[in-house]
Amino acid sequence: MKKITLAFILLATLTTSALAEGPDPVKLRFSSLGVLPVSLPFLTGEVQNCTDQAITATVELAAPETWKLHKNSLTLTLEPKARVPFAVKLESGRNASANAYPVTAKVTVSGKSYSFAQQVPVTSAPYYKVTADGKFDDWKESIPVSFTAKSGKTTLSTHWNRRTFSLLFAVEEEKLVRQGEAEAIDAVQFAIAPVEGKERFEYLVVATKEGAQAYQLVDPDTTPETIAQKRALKGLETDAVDVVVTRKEGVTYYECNVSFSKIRDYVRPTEGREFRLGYIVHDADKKDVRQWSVFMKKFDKKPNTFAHWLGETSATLYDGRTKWGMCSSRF
Amino acid sequence: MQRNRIFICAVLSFVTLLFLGATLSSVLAAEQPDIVFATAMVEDEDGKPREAGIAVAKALLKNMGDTKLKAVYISECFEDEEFKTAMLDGIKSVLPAKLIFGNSTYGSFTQDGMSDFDCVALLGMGGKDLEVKIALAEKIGASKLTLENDEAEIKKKLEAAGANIAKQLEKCPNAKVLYLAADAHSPKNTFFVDGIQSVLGKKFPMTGGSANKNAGQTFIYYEGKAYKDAAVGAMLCTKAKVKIAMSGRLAKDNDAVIATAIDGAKEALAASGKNVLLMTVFDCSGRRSRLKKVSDELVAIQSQLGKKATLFGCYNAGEIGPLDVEEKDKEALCGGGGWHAMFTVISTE
Repeated sequence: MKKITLAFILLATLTTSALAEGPDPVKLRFSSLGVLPVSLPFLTGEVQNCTDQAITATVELAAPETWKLHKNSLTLTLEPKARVPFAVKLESGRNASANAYPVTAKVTVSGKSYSFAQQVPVTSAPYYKVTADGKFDDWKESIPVSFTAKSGKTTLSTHWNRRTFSLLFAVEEEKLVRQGEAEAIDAVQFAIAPVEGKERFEYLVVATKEGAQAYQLVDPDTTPETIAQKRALKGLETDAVDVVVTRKEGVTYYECNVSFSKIRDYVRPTEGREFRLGYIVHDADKKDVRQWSVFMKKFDKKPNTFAHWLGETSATLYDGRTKWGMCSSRF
Repeated sequence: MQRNRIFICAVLSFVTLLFLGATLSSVLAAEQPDIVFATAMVEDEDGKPREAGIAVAKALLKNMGDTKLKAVYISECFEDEEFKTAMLDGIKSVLPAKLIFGNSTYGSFTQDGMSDFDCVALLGMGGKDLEVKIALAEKIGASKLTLENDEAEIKKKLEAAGANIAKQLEKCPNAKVLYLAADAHSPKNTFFVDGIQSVLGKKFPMTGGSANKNAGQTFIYYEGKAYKDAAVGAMLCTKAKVKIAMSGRLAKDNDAVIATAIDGAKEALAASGKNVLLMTVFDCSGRRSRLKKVSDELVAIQSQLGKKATLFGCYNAGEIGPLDVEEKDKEALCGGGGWHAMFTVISTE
């Protein structure tokens, strides 16, 4: 499967090189799917005009064989530097256990073609009650999303119920650097926010010598100045996240239950609601920050997307917000 | 003499008026059957489900006035069996358990508002001219099966469950409309409806919803008890001349949900009599989730119905009523689907 994926990406890259020379006048990215393909979501994305001229772009879409798109071709007119969203409905679709659907787009501008390939996942949390206990039996119904950064692979599974939002980060890494073991430590940093609005709840979870600790870095009252400061974690401890960190066969698992009690006014825990989820993984000994948003090919670099803290692994961060859904249980 | 004549005329006029009044009353009584529908809804903000159950039951009794209850439809979305049981116990401490039927849903709405969080809504049905017969099909065996792997088996089991319920209710005299709740989320509910129609025919009016399908939250209620892997049907019967008007609308985005709520309500009301006794709306939780403001659909319905007529709505995992899709059985009045708001208006002239 990995070979097939690699071959697919290589082929897409070669195709791009073969079709056009010089900086591309357009960029295209696909967004994640809000629900499983069998529920017939829209395949959405955006096209960016990178030039100072208005352009007309023809977009030819190709989806997995088990899908049927309502239309496979779009014509978009883009003003200079403009970014235009697109959405095409699935008329039929099958789910894949890997939760990564290869989609491609060939964008033709002024007779030259540019190809874009992406593995699109479903980013949705099925309803389920999870106990943060280091056992993973209760994660079978989740829809995991994976991405591989320089320092390794990260997989995130999510569930929700009326009281808690649950996250299981499986971080493949050679070594876990616990709090107190070094100046820079391993950690997972994630933020939950409404689809619209500037408010967010941002947390950090780390492994300690005794077990695990959660910190709240941002709430809706936190000022941008505070977010930009490299703050000490002492004093930011929170009980709003119940976290257990375990390590098995080269994988560190951060199992988190986040209480909805304070988030509920901003993100309503009901079926079908969407919110924004962003997350990064600090891999201290590899000096890498794994960014989900890079895998999602986000266009924008936003250095202050996540809060800073003493002990972090520094990096330029992309816009990390992805729409995430809360869906009914799968069966 | 003049005074006597005036007196006699006055007496005659009074007697005539009394006679006319009595005649008018009897005419009105004949045209306006003794059928009463009332609703009550309570959201539990304090984590006290039993108290919420007691409160909603008492509110329903108050809203029914002097009318004796014949049946009570329950739509509840408390989380977990423990809380559901406590809430149900509260209701049963006030109302006869035997009358209670319905399902766990994703929320409810009435003229008083909507709620999708630890909430219970009741629809009381009563009056001398109304009979309600309720039937249960349990141990259906389809709830754990998936369409990808077990479609034939699901079809067989749900058609049997539908036929089972319909056979229990088919002999009700003067049957007007069938209310249904099933552990058969869309599109499984299609098979359930097929089973019912195999007995009652394709033109019989029926509406209802599929129970909440979240893990551990799927329940059907019958005679005040909670059942898993079950379905329930309640046949409303009356000799009175009541009209049953139905419509169904499908939508998947904010504007369409609001527009179809207006259209659907308008169509059902246009086919109704002047005196609306009840509007029920079996709505899809997915439609609600597409709304930017969750109360907008209720506001849209009220723009057609007004704010006084009795309204009972709930959010489901599948809906039964007139389908709003091209690929449907054109001979059938109703079907099982998803993403619909299914409107039913019970009225008299």
